[in-house]
Amino acid sequence: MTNNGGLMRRYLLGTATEAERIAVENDYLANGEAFHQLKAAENDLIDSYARGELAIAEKEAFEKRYLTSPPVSTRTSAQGRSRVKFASVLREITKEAALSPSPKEAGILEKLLAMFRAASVSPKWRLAAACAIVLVGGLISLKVLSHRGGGPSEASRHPDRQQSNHPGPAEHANEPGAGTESGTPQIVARNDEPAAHDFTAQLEPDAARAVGSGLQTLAAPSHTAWLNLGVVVDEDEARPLAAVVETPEGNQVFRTDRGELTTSQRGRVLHVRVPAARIPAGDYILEVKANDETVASCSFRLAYK
Amino acid sequence: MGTLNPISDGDDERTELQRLIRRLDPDPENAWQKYRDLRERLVKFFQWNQSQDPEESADEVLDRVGRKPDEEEIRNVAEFVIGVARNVLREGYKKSQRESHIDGWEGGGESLAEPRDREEEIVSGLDHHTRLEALRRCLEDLKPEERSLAIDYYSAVEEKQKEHRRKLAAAAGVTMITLRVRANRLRDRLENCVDNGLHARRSQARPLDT
Repeated sequence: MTNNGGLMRRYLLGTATEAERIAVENDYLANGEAFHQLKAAENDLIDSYARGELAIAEKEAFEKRYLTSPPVSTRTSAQGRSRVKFASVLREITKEAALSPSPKEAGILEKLLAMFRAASVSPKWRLAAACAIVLVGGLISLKVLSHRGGGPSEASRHPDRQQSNHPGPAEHANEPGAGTESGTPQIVARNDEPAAHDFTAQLEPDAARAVGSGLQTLAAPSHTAWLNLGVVVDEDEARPLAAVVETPEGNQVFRTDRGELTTSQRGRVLHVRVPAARIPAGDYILEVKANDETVASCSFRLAYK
Repeated sequence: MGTLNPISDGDDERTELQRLIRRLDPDPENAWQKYRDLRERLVKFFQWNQSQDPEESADEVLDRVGRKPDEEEIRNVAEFVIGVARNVLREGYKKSQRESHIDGWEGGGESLAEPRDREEEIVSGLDHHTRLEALRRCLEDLKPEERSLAIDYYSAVEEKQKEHRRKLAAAAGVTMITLRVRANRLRDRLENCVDNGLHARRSQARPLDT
């Protein structure tokens, strides 16, 4: 039974035959693994319902089985509703974490916009650029929406949860050593914009920091969904770069090879977008790696205010 | 199951429970674990069969198994439990049919709960944010590798789910089934943590009865 997803789903929805039902029950009442498989199948079913992925007949059966009172008791239907709500928030948080938009995508769009704006371009090329902008923008939107498992209705249900796909340059970076006291944590970034879900900070590599200057601290608002972290890297580094966030004990909590390199007055800066759900308050080390060789390392303390 | 000391007359609930525990496993520690597992399965059995009170029905099954005198040997506890569970379920159906018939004459007992359900739904719509924050806090309490698993496992949309989870299992060096069980245990913990957090919050917000 444990490998028969269809049978488990039919049992849970109450559409299995009598013989199937008895077989499933005999199995899970006597066998712990079968029971856990069935519970897992139930969680998947609840997730599918919360995502609007069930076919009409399944959706109706699910609502009858889990949410409607009667036939199920008021307490059971309340539990069912609570589990669907849990599935919704779990979905929202895992989407935030998994949806790591590629800065390259935003970069392409910006380049096309710049091309469109350029006065020297002929009308024919302007038209071509406009078409390309619409096409690329549409593709990116489709990718983002499909990643979120919703459509326009999903977006409109949670307008306050829209993410910016444009991790711009560091907006709240402090100059190294400014306002620091020896040995005390240094607050390097703070973003108190109430509506923002992105928090941007530029980290100082450990090698460039004065001895005893304390841990650099990021004080992000509690509603932060994304951390845009910038790290200055060597001008001459030409290899592809990856960014890894680890705990001081060496547990990797996030890794991406989708950072965006920009050039600022301070040199080349690698920008990475890290889902806040992945890194709760605590101490971390962000390492920039080229072919698994560490080329920059920044220790920091993250706090949510 | 094994050699059991006969229980004297005048059994109370405690001796019934002790008898049941010994039937499950001669080792007390294993037996208690088996008892908890069995009870959990029975609660779900009644829930999946739309019983009116799954917890009470599960306890009724365990009581009946415990009441069975030692002299009557139970060769296979699991099979015996399944049989008793089906009897309790049937009795529950009959009872609820009788009650719904009576309710029908009186205007329907359960239907009275509907307006309150709707009100509850409106209120619960408002607490989406609270629930989200509670889940964030619960995720923070997990170990980093557990948090990663919970997020990675549940992040795929249905059509890509199987492939996504296959890759996760391969990366973790475990079978899909093991990964699934691990992820769902984590989910249970998170769900309980969120429920407890919301419950504690509501308790704090509720003014004391005078």
